[in-house]
Amino acid sequence: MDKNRDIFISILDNHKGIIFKIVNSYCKDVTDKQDLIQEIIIQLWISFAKYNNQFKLSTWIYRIALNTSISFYRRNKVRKEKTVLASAILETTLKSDEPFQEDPDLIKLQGFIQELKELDKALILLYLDGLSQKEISKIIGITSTNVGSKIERIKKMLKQKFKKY
Amino acid sequence: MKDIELVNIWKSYDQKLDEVLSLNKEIVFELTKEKISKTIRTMRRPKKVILLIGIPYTLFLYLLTFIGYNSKGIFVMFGFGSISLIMTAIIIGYFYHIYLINSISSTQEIFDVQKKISELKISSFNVVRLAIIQIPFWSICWMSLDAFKKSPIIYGGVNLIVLLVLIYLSYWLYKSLNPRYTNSKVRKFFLSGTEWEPIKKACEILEQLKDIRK
Repeated sequence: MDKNRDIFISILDNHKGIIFKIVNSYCKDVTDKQDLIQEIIIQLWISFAKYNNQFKLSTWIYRIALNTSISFYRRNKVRKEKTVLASAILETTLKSDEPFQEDPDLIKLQGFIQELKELDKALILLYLDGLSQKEISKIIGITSTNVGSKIERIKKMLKQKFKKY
Repeated sequence: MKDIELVNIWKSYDQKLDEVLSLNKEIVFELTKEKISKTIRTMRRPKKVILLIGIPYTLFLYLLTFIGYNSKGIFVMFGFGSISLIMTAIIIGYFYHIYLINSISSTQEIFDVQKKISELKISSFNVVRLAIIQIPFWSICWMSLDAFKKSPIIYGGVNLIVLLVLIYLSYWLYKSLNPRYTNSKVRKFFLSGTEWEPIKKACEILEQLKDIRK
């Protein structure tokens, strides 16, 4: 049990970037982010025993983290809309976000991604993280061609937004 | 804008994320260190209160020893004298605890904090053991040489039984405090309260700090 726990913690530590990026794309306020991180970790721990090592660890983490985030996002959508102001205040007071403030393009891109629909968010996150169409189709559960066309559409949309703002 | 530009913007995310995470780690680490020294500092007041009561009490015991010496009360002198010496050692222990508590600060390296907390833990433990050792001497204080001479069997027998019972009690308590018996009720009873909880809490926080530093 302890050995499993240590392995699990080390996996989490090595892939924490994936989790943070997904969480930041699906949640705006700090409390939601913390809740979602916890939920993802719980889901990962539950499915850790069933982990099939034919898949890459990152693919497994992406799949679980995205599924958890999408259902979390749907569940919290209504509540979130009502607490936008409070969360905005909380976020701006977070000093540890300072490194992000130095990169306005990254902030814009995060903002644009947050505005996307939940499935589109997942697709572009996976694309930007360098996963192949085949890998993305495995994680999301749609055909590779469909992945390609959807990503093209999202990229076009993001580029337009960059032009506009 | 080209695709590669989008990807590059996103790539900088990983680097920023690492910066944020290491910054967060550092903030958490510093805050936790501050929490340890705050927790340990809560022990200062009860220790000072015990010293305020303990010093006059020990002086009073020395006075009784002196009276025993003057009146040639050998048992009174030996009994109270021994208790006074033990109490002196306990008082010195408490002064040392306060010195250790004052020397723990959040600006120190974690290794130094850990070392001082360990010293505080060991010394507090030894003080409890010393307090237990004095128990049998309380039965000696009240013995009278004249009464022994008059009634060696009854008076002597009763006092011997009381002394043996207290020696056994003292031995049993001393043994029960052994760190091997982690679930011992005696150990839990003596190693609890305002003088022990902060040490336990600080040790737990130290463990968390080790995890952060991993």
